[in-house]
Amino acid sequence: MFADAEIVGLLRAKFVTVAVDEWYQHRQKDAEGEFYRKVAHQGPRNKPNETTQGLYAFTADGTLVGYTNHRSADRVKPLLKKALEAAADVEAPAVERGKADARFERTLPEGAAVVDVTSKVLGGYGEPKTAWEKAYQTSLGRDHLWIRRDEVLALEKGGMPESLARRMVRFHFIDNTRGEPPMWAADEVKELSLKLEGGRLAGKVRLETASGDRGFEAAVAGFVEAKDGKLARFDVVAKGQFRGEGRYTQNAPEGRFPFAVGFALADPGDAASKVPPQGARDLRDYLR
Amino acid sequence: MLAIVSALLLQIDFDALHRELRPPKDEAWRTIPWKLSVLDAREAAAREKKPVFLWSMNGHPLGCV
Repeated sequence: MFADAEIVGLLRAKFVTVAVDEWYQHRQKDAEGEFYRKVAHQGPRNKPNETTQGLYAFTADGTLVGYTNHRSADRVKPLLKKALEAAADVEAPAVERGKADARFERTLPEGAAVVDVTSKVLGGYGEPKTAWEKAYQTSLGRDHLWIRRDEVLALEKGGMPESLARRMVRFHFIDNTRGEPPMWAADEVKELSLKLEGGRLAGKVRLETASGDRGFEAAVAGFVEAKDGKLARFDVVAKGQFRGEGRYTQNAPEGRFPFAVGFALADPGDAASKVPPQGARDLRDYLR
Repeated sequence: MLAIVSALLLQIDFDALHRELRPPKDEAWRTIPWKLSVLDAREAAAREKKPVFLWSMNGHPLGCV
């Protein structure tokens, strides 16, 4: 849909746009969650234990105008046009926010650094049969890595903290190019050696499930700099052979395939950099 | 140790791969001013008299695939 200039133009000029990971809003027991469910449950995805993902257009008072889970311009444009007609002169009383549900709050810890993470399948796919398949085969998986302040300080002193190495491999050496991926459990980290010397990071990693149906063996290299308590550079790549897929990331290439993950400092001015890591759904495990 | 580091770095064309893994700078969806809270969106919509477009996914749309 974003390849359509009219849609992008309409969204920028005529709409207030919001993007959410529905895992949070669907569950939060606070004003944010209640308003989200008020809107979403007017649509076809209105069962409490099922996903509500999709595209919604609604007026400020929470009245749903339309819904689609399609991304094609010919489905989205009519939705937008209908919403523009419906939105005129809608009065919306203020919503009392009250206390946020702390179980679902994900705020960057003080002094922590944010790193963009991207991933890509580098080969192994057959010829795509549809445009949609082609899009998936060439897509970049995206996420963010949070680095705690004490870990930044350790990097500044010239060492690679074990906690950071484990967080990188367990939550970010994953194939998220086709959907929500399974992360690696602690005991699936079979081999991990990441060393930082003179600003150069290098090492290797081997990850594998107990059944052997999924695995990743990779070499890691990069450049890391921290100064005055702040991360100044975190340009890192991991490249190796991946195999397997997850429940929501099906249609991986057969057998072993080349796969890479890249890290670079996030732009703090980018709204997307405020999105918490996918792995932060279990915040304690993620930040440990 | 540094010899090992260098060898590993040389085995992969680091700069080219790091560049390949960076997202394009001109992605159209990035030009849209996304809010991250439906209540924030609702307040802005009421103030500006605009409808809301909500992109909801399993996995955050701005930080996922």
